[in-house]
Amino acid sequence: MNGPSLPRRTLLKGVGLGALAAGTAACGSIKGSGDKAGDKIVIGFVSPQTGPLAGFASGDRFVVDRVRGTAAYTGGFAVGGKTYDVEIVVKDTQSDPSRASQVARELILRDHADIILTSSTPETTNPVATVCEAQGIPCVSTVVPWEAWYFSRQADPKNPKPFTYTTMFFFGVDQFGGCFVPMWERVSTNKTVAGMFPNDADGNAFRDAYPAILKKSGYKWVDGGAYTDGTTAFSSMISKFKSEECEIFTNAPLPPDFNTMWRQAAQQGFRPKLATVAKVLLFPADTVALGPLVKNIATDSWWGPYMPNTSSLDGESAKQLAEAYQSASGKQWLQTLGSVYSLFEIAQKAFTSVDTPRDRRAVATALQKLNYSGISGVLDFTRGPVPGVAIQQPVGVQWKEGDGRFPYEMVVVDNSLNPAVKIGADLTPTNP
Amino acid sequence: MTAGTGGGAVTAGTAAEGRFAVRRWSRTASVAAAGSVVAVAALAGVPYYAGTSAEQPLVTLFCLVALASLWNLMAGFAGLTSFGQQAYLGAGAYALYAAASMGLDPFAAIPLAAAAAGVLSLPVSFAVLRLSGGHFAVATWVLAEILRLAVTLAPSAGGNTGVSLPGVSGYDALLRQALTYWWALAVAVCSVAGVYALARSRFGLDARAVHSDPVAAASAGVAVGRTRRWAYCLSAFGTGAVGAVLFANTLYTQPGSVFGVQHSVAMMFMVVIGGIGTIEGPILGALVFFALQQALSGYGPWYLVLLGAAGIAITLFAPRGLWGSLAAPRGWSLFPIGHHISGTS
Amino acid sequence: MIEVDALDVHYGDFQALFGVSLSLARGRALALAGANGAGKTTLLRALMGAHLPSAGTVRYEGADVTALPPHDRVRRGIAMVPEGRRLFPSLTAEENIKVGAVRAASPDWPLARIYDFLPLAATVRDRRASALSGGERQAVAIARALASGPRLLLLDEISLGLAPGVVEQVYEVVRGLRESGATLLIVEQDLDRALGACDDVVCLLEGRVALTSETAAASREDVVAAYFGTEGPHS
Repeated sequence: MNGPSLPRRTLLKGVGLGALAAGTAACGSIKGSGDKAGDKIVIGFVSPQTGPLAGFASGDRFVVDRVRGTAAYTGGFAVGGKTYDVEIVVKDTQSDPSRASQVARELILRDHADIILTSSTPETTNPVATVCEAQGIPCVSTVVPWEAWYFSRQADPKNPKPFTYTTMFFFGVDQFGGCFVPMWERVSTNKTVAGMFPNDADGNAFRDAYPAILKKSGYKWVDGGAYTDGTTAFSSMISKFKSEECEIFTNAPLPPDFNTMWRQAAQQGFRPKLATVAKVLLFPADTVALGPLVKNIATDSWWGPYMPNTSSLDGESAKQLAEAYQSASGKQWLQTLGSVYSLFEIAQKAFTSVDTPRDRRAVATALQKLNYSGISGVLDFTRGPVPGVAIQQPVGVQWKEGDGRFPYEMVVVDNSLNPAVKIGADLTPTNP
Repeated sequence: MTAGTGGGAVTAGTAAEGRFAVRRWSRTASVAAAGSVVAVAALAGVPYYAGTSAEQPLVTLFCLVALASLWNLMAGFAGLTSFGQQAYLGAGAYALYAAASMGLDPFAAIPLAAAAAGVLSLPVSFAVLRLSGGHFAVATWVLAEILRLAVTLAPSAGGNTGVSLPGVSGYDALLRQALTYWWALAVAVCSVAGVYALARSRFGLDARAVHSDPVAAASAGVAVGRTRRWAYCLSAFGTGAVGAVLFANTLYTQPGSVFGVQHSVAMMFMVVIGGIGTIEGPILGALVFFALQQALSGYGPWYLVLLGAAGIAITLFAPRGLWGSLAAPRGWSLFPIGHHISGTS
Repeated sequence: MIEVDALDVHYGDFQALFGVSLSLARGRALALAGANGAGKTTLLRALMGAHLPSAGTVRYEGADVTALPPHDRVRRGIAMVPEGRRLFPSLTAEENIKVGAVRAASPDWPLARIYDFLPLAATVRDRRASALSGGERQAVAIARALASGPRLLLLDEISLGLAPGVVEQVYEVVRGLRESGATLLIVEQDLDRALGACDDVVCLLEGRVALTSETAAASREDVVAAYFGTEGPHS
């Protein structure tokens, strides 16, 4: 790959040649990793399949196999009158941001990926997107609040600049507010909200934005303090919530930290009337650790079998995808199935709308202009809060006892943001 | 310890032979020096003839060589077994972040980041160098943990999630990788050459004496504290440069990873298996470590077990490290550090 | 040259020296006698700065050096041949000697003069210290101390563990040093040899000065009595 010549690069040629006083370099230009042979499009996929974030990615392998089996992928992509085979290369970050950065570079340099798709938490998507933006490789992220994805990667967060190669779809603090506040309204409380937010990208994004949203709706905000991920003692935070008489609880912690905190809260008698949690209890596996303590905790849901959406690859419905996963794995469906699936819908849409898959700038531009409807519903990248971001509309759900197949399941209790989704049950206070 | 006799550089001693100026150099050393220059020149050309797929692994290797040499400067020469050099890796990385956030060119700011780590190490040295042995090792580790927590708790440094390196988007990707590569090469060459020059100097002799017996060294007139401080701070400076280069390479840094104790374990592993107290040993150790990493990384968690087993085997069967066991009996010395000055010249 | 006044030295809770005072004039040699554990080596370490006293003062050439670190004392012209030689085993003999020359107080002892004075050290100059015999090590240890150009030399148990013939050679060196005008403070188990080589004698008993005298004025019996204490509990 030889990108456009920049003055800086010419200057550097001189520097480089100076270093090679022996004159070993007769050629004057820096070499790339070599051109790719063959008519193949390589899609890299990065997610945390092992480690503490593995809960997000437990359905990823299934989705990748499902996508590989669709006609759109088995038949190859028709780009500019030519058909390209598609290869999907899957990489695991082991939940480590450094490893995420490393596998992204491997995908680019060794596997010659034409696009990189990545999912689940800023710890995964941000390193990957950073590498892609610097290397000029198109990239789509999901399952990350857009603020944590966008502002954390800016040189100057107060003066943000849009990215060229990296795009994403998910939602942000506004949608959490838009999803949670209507649920709070339906329980009679003193309107005092306890916030448990760690000192990481997600936690800080919430901490910055929540007070304004709460104030607008007439709620009082009690911040439990910016704790470090992995903290095991939450007594002082819980005491603060108790002394401030908080009746609503909300958070955005790492799942194990919430398990610790919620058990300690139960022991210390902190029993908020309604708990609306973010980033935790998103997946069935998370509910096992807490057992009955999980009952009637509310959270957001951006995807589920109750969504009236169908795949843009083969028309499969959300319900069919969830059931296929359950019968293939024996495990309960999870929300990231739809998100990861949509990453591959988006890749297919972007490549089939350009003249050649090797024109990365064109693919990146296609991503920024994308507006389609797939298994995650309508994703419109042209009208996001910032360029390259498509916003989903989540619904409010509660964990309720299941019909016997699984102990707890998500039931839609509020559809304020996404009225197309049917309500499944009434909202019940977490602690009556 | 093989530090004392640079084999080829030493004349077998009688007083009569001693009248000839005792050599600190040899033909082997000349060949090694010339070979090193050619090798470095050839490596400097890699971005022109080999491309990015060769650059990436070499950046990792160069950083390992630099880290091993710098750890050896402390442990092998000044007798300071630190478990906390990751503090300066992180300091270098986050100093580079701070400089780049202020609008400085990230590549031009790498020396600044190294200097920041060096400056940080000076006040720290007054605290940790009061301790010795295991206490020193633990204190340095604790320091690294304190720094990690401090960064984690600083929202402006990205907290636990980490930060991206600002200011690289203006660079062409190939050029940026080539620049990173050259920086990594430069840091490795400067680390090895710097430690070599120090080891051959007055300082090297002092440091080896301090390592051998600090009380006797003090009684013989060596400023023990100052010698250790120089070794500690210079090592921190170099380690800071490596931290900055690693950040420029990965473009993303996170406190849990850059301040991880696994970096110190790797440094110790490389120096011990290569040969502590020599110039060649850490280089060889870094090559072995790198090769093991590449060969075993496919085995998942077993990778660490296999690495540990390799380390145990080498310490059992070659207690002076691979280079010590290979070179000492044969009298090899590519980079002699022995200090012999004729008194009868 | 050196005056020690009311020196107390502790190792943690244990007090090793109690109000020790002594003085030594330029060009003289003082034998420090006493049983094992009487505090002789402790006193030398305090004079060298290797272990700081808890009370009292050490004055050297008119200046208070009580709290000075060892390397500064070396620069002012104090050198020590430590008990057990304590060479740097991984360094060659000559490297050991060069370490001593780090901050030479005077140019009086260039390497050439040291090798002339101590031919034994010259013959082993390129051997690793760990490979040397006891006598060779002692020669190198003395050479290392001389390399710093000292005016006051502290010699700790220099004959310990050496063959009788070698001890004779070492004391030959001591006599040579006296002739060169050096001021010496010698710790020595061999009482007769110490008294024979020195002008003054100070005897320590359980951390206290039991006897201070010119060697000519003290009978051997006086010294032996001071050495063992009145009850003579040591055999």
